Amino acid sequence: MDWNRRSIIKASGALALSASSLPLFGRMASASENPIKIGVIDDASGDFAAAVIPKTQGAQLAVDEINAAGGVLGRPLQLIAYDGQSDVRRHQEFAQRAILEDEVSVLMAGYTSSEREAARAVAVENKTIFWHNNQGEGGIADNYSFFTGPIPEQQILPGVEYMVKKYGKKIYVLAADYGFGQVSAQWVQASAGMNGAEIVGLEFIPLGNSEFSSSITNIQKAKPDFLFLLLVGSNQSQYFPQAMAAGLKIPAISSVNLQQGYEHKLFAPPTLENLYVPAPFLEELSDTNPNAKKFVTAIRGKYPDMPYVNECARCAYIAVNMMALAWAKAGTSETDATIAALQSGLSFDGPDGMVSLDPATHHTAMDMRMFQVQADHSIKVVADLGRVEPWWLKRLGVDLTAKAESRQYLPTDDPELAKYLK
Amino acid sequence: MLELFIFLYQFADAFALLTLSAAGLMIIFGMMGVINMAHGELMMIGAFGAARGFQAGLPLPLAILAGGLAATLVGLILERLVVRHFYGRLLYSLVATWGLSLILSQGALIVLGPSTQGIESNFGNFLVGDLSFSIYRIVLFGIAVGVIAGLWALFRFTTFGLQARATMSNADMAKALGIDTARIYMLTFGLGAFLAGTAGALFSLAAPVQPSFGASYTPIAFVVVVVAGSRNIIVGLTLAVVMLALVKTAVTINLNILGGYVAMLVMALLVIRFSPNGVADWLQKARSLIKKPSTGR
Repeated sequence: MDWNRRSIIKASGALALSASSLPLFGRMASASENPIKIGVIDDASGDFAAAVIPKTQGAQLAVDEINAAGGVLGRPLQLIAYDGQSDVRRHQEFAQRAILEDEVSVLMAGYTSSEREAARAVAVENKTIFWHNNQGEGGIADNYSFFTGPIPEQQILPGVEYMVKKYGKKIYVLAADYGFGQVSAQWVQASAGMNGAEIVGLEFIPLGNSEFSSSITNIQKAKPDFLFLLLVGSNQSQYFPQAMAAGLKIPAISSVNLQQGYEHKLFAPPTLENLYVPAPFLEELSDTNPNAKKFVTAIRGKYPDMPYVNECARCAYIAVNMMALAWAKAGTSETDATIAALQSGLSFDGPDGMVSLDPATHHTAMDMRMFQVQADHSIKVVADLGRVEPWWLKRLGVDLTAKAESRQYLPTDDPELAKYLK
Repeated sequence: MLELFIFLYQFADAFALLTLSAAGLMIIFGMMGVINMAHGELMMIGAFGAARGFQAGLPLPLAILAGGLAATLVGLILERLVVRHFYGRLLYSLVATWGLSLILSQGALIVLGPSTQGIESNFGNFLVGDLSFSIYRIVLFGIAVGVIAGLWALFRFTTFGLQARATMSNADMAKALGIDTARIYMLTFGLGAFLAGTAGALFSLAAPVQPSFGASYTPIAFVVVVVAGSRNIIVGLTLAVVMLALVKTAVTINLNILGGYVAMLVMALLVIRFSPNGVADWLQKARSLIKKPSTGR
């Protein structure tokens, strides 16, 4: 009994230690070999965990590969991971801890736009390089902020154009009710206008909502040709089985679902049949694309139990590699020199082909594809959307190499888009 | 006519959701004065149990039963180890079961992984006009009505029910009369856990099965329990669910989903303001007011 109790106390002590051990080991290691520290705040628990855990794994794979090849500037890379807990406040707190206490050279944080902005504000304030590593609503022009994920002009615009041509002009939009969803919905509206299409219904769904029977009835009444889905988190992804159970068989496109939350692996087929996904990468790309094959084999070799190799894993992997290229080019991990290197036109041959970091906007050019979910939930590439540049901010005159900025542009700031918004 | 059907269908849907989410929480709160913050996690265990059982080849009804039993087992272990020390101490029990809920959801993430494939819902759908509706939602409504009827019969007609009601109204007196109240408490907690687990298993047909599964249902379960109060489990639960489902359905159809939630919360607020012990308490007072003149004569 006494032995038992003691071992329990020991075990709980070990647990408490391991919870705080990452930064602790960070300091110990820095004394001996002076690693370059990369801080990542990813949601390892909470509503977004299933989608975001692969992000940390993608970053870790990149760190391990770079270290196995000798590190950068003779120094190893060290990943310091914090659990953002799907909570905006945790992102802010850990961003402060990563930058002020653990002194990371770069911070990669945030899944949702609200998490991203909480952490990014801390990074920008402390002049620390920041990366956001999944698709987003775009528009951010900031000297310290960089983005690996596709943005509306790369996903929504070509996506709507494709769907209107294929299915017709009536669109129904279901969007998560917060920053990302609202801005993205504006992009869908503008894209509809540019393609002569019409929004026959637009519903904003509260985050955490999992009941869609009223929306499903509304959609059926509106009789759209296709749906544009911007649903976020595992609660909102309950839309899919509910629509399936209600017999809703309208083709849909999403710039966020499946590529992050791999709903086609969580729900039994044919729940997601005929969902279209405009994206640079899905795990299934590895069936035909050698780059994707190499990446998927490597990450699955390291994490055999991964439920899916998603966009988050892809983006984090690219971001760490971009940073390594920048540090090598700058010859230092010092921030200003590294930013100059990041703005020198870097390219990385990543999981879905060559990805180029645009110096003017800090977003990336990538090869976009239109994926379609089949009845058995296998994935087919149905169209090659080509190489898409992040062109929108440049049209608004943003050039971060020439003029420092720190703001987010919205579709309403662009008269060409605003004229389609009510 | 179609509009009326849409309203009834969505009312039935909301009724099933609220009843099944809240029944387990309601039983435990009504009987023992314990707010079980780990309620959602028991639902999550039910969902995982059902999904894993289904993957292992169990037929659907048995898989759902397996989920309910898995939650019951975990619930009984928690009751023996932790919860029984906090009966009647609302705030203590709140903190203790909240801790349990964190341990369970994080433990599930470590042991069971971030997700598992849900169960295929092949109940099909039916047409009204040119709109199609899910049969499973109607099945859920039937089960919810069955749960309320079953609970009523259990408390009304069985020895366990009699002893449970005695324990609920005066635990010390019940003990003095020879009722093993500790056993009654344990069985009631087990029953609550079984209801939570079964609800989780039923919902797993239309939801991703993940460690955070319960978080979708816990808030609405709490709203139901707050509105119901602890005076009379069956009457309180039924009345609260009917009122909340009506309000939610009406506002959701005419406004939007967010409005539906807000309306439910406003409803809960009004009930707390005018009848702090819930609608069942209010009903009982109203009844005694009506009865008084007749007993006076």
